Amino acid sequence: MHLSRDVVLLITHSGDFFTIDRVAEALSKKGAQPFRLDTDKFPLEVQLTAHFDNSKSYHTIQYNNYSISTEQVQAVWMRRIWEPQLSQELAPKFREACVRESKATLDGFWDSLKEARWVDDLERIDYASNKLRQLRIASEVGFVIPQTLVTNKAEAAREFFQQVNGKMVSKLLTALSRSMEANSSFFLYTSTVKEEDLQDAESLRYCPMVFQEQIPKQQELRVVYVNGNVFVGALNADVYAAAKVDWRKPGVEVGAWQHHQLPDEVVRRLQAFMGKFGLSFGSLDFILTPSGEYVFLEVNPVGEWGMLEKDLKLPIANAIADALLS
Amino acid sequence: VGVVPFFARFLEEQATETTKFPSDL
Repeated sequence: MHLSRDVVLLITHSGDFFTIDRVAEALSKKGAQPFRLDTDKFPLEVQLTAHFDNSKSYHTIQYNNYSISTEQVQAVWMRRIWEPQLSQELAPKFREACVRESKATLDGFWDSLKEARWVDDLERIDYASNKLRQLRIASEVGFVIPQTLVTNKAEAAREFFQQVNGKMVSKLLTALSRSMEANSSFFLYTSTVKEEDLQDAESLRYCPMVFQEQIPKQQELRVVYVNGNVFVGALNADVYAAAKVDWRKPGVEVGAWQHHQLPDEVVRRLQAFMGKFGLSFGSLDFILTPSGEYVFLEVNPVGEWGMLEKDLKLPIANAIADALLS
Repeated sequence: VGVVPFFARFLEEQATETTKFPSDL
């Protein structure tokens, strides 16, 4: 069945739930027609056709008995892109080429939608995803940031450890992919660095790492920015901080999410920060210190927010739908 | 096995320990 009305394309994957459903529901209530595209289902279940000639070009895409064409798409929610999932029957020696061609074809499809409103544009997401760029811009807009060292030099890491009085954490700039086949990525969560760890710091020569001073915590904040609107969830650090340094780890009991009001000054800086990246959406992490200071950690341009909508009833899906239709 | 980068030690710690809706729990 070919959808007839203006369409909002939801770019996601087959494992997504809750947030994707809430946004689709909010769009439907506002009279728009959501079309969910599970990127990992291309090319085996999603069918895409693109025509180009000197007078025009157009794409059609068919999935789950529905089809849409490029000119129908008025807006795009860039939730997540997963790798094409190919079946085991495909000869292994052709797998990489099939994945590469499929991704290039999808890139062409995204390009055909450049006239639509994107939340957010892929190039802006890519630009904003570098954590070191984030720290620079956060500092420029006036956020407090942790003292940070990025190095592949063992001696520099040891000196920094002394500089922060032995209160140091480490992290990486990117996710580590555990299994392309299972399409799950996993992360090295923020880890405490002990002095004995640094005896082995010469192995930094193979790969640099990010080191930061460990910030004392009263609360951890997940701040969700949607087109000028700000939604905040807070976790009390004393529930888990004695043993853990990263609340995002599976198995870490985080207690209940709580409402939190950011000071006006922090909100102004947040809006300036997001403006510098040209992003309509961002999921940011802050630490509120015992002395009342808000310390910026990072922004994820496609970060999670479902827990805040579910537990705090924050209308984030509705705000995303508004941003898509504005 | 090959030599391992510095971050590998923290991955091992994570494995020894850690693969958010409290109301679900």
